[in-house]
Amino acid sequence: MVEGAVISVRGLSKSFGKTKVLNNINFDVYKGETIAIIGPSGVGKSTMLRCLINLEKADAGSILIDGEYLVRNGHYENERTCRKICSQMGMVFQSFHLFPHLTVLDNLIYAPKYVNREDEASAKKRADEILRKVGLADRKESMPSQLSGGQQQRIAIARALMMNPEILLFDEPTSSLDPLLKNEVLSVMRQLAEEKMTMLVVTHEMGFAKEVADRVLFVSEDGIIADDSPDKIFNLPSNPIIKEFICSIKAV
Amino acid sequence: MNFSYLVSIFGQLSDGLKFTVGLFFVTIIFSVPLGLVLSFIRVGSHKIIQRILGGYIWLMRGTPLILQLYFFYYGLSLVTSIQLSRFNAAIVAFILNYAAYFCEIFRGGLLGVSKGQYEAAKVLGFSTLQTNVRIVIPQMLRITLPSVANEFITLVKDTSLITVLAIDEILNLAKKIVNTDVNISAYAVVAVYYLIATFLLTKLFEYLEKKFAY
Repeated sequence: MVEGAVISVRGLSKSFGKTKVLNNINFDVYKGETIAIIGPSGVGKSTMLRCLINLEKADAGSILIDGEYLVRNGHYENERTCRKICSQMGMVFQSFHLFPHLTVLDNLIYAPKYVNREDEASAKKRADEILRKVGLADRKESMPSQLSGGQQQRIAIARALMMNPEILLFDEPTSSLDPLLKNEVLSVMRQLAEEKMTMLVVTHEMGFAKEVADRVLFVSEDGIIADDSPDKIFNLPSNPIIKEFICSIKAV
Repeated sequence: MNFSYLVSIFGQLSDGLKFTVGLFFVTIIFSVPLGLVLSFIRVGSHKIIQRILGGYIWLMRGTPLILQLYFFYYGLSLVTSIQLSRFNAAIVAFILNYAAYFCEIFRGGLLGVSKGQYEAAKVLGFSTLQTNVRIVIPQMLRITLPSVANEFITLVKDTSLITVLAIDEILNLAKKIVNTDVNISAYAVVAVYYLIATFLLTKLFEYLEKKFAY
C-alpha cells in the first residue's frame, strides 16, 4: 500500500452473477484530492464507488481506508468495524435519497443526533452553518418534495457534511438535473474542492472533471485504463478508447 | 313507529357497545403491532419461518372469519384442553385474522420504501433498528394509511359477526328487539351506530393523511 493514501484499492473484483463488473481495479487517493471518475456507462464506475463505502461487497481484492482494511484479500472485517471505517465517508447519490417524511432540518440533524448522539442544539447550530454554505438557509423547514432537484441535491450534500466526513463520494450527482440546476450543485462541489475536501466523483460532467479535478480516472470495460491529470486525459489522450470517448463528447 | 320508540332502542342497544367497541379496540391494539412485526419477518430472508408465516396468512385469509370464530370457541377445546369464553374466543380469532391482513398491508408498504432510503441511512451510519424505526416505518405507515383505514372500517362492521357466538353486541341486541317487538326499526337504529363509527374513523384517517402528507 502507498504511504499517505487515504484510500488504497488493490485487485478489486466484483461480479453480479456471471457478469464480471470490476476486474482487478487498483488506485490510490490522497488527502485533499478531487478525483473525477469518468468513462462510458455500464463499466462499473458506480459499483466501484459503492464498494468503497460497503454498499456492495467486493469478491476479491483489498480496500484500505485511512490505514484500515475494509476488506483484505476478499475478506471483510466484522459489520461493526466496517461501519466504523465507513463512517469516515459520506455519499451523495444520483437520485438524492433525502428522507421524504422529514423536514430539511431533520434530514440534516437525524444522523448526528441518533447515530453520533450529538445534542440537538449543537446539531441545529451546525445545520444552520452548513445550510448557509450550500445556499439554502431559508429552506430548513421545507419538506424535500417542495424543493427543486438542485436544491434537494445540495441538501443531500449538506446532510453528508453534517457527519464531518474525511472523504465524500459522489455517484453521478448531477445526472438527473437539468443544466441550470446542475450548476448550482457543481458550484457547491467546486467550493468543497477548494476547501480541500477529499472527493471521488463519478460524473459525466466533463467541464467539472477538466476544471476542478486534480486527477481523472478513466474506466472502461478493461478497468482503469488511465489515471492522470485532466490536462493529459483531455488534451493528449493516449488510448484510442479515451480518444474516441473525448471526441464523441466534444462533438455534442 | 314514533321518535321516542327509536330513542329508547338507541338506549337499549348501547348495552351492547361494550362488546362491539371492546372487540374493535382490543383487535386494533394487538393486531396492528403483531401485523407490523410479522411484515418485517415476511420481507426477511429466513426460509422456514417464511413458509410458516405464508401458511398462517393463507389459513387466515383463506377461510371465513365466522368459521375461525367457530373454531376458537367450539373447536379449540376438542384439540387442546383450552376452553375460551365466548368473548375471548372472539378476541383471539379477530386478532389472528386481522394481524394476517395487516401483515400483508404493511408488507406492501415496506416494498414501497425505495432501496435508496436504506442506502442513504446506511451511509449515514444508522443501525438496522434505527433505520427501520426512524426512516422506514414512518414512510411505510404513510404509504399504507388508506389501506389501514379500509381495514379499520371493515373491522367495525365485522364485529357484528360475533353474533354467531351468541354474544350480545349491538346487532344481536337489535335482532332480539326486532323479535320481541315485532318491529324492524331496531335494524335501522343499529345501522346508525355503525354509520357514526365509520364516519368518525373516516374523518380521523383524513386528518392523519393530511398530517403525515409529505
